[in-house]
Amino acid sequence: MLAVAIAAALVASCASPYVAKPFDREAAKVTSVAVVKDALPDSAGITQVASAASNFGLIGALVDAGIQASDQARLTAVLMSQKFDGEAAFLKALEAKVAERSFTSSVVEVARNSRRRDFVENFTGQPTADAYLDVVSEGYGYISSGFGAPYRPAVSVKVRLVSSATKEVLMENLIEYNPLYPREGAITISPNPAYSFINLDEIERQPEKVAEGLTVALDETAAAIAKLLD
Amino acid sequence: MRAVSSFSAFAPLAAIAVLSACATVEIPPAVTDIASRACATSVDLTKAAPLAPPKPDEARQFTVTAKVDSSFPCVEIDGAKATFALFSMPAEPTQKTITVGGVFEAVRIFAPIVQTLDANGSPLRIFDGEDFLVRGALYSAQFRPRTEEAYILVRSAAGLAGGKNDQIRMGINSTSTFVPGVGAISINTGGDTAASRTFSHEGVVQVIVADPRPPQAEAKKR
Repeated sequence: MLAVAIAAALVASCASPYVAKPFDREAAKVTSVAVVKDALPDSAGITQVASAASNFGLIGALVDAGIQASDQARLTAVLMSQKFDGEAAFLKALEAKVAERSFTSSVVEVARNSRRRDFVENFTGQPTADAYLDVVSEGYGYISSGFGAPYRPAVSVKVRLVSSATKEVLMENLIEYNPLYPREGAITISPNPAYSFINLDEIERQPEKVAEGLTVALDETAAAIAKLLD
Repeated sequence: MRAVSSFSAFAPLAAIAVLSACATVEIPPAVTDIASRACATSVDLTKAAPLAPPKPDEARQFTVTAKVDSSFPCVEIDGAKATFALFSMPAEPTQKTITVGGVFEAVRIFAPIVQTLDANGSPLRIFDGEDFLVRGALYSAQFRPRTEEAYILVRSAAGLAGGKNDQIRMGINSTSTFVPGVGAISINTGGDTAASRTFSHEGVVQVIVADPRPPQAEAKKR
């Protein structure tokens, strides 16, 4: 797991900076958007990057994998106790934020036909709006940079606005809420300091606040997406 | 099959920067009041800095930076005094993505309003307030120029200067230690930092010009 993470870091460091495509609302004349369902993974994740165990070689890495699996189960139980539904919270926030900017919005279900989480490849069928707002999250949940640092909410999404008529990509961007190593060119959002948990025990002691922290993170991410439509 | 969020894509372990502080470095303070300055009522278009790549092979993405200090001119617009930096559009502007704003310095950020101007200096579009987001170390707006836009005016926002921007950034601290019989080992721990900066009339303005077209398309055009 550690090796994969390091490899990912090396690839990221060699890649070209991300170049977003800004939206020109006046030129595009889009007044209605259809928000595509299935924006987020089914459940929130949790990780501590530089954990204590990860400092002790292969044995440490194996121990670390066990701890992180246990942490995942504990966070999932906490969020289930709050009936937390990340996808529903995000879509609700996104529709509201888009409406604040004078767009009419709806939610549509379109098949994502790739095996990994990625943008919709082909929009087929009768369009219900001027453009599709396609948001895909590579991950969301709680992250701690390492031993001694608190867990805070984190969200990573990429977003596209695609013309229903021409299928042209009208806008594309990356948004990272509380990233450890932000990708160059991505929009970053600083985490809300109110939602910080020193360890898993504290997460289990404050289930309402844990769910609320994720809702706030998803809400702020949705707000940033809506700003890109102006 | 349930898909669980994976953080490996956005929370990888990467090289740890080691910071050293050996010399005393002067930290430029925020300048929040320029009321005493005598300012012009219009900008001099002939003084615009060109948005051109420093080397031809850097044309796909390049950065132009201006350190706006008290030596820079100021302008009075709608009764508000503002320092500014003026840039002329790059080549093929409508094909470029422009990211422009104030750089995060130690304790300050240039408080930006961005206006595009036509060839005669008349204002066309304005980017302010919610148009600005954080991209890396740049508090910035992003747009694609229109045909009629010839200049980018980045001026300080009187209403923003003096305001605060608070950021929390995750980080990892790395400490090396020698263990007898084992050798040198490196211990990584979490190290989040919080920083509060003040929006300022003086500071570093930066413009990033990027061509999002695939290299082949650009080559074919030439």
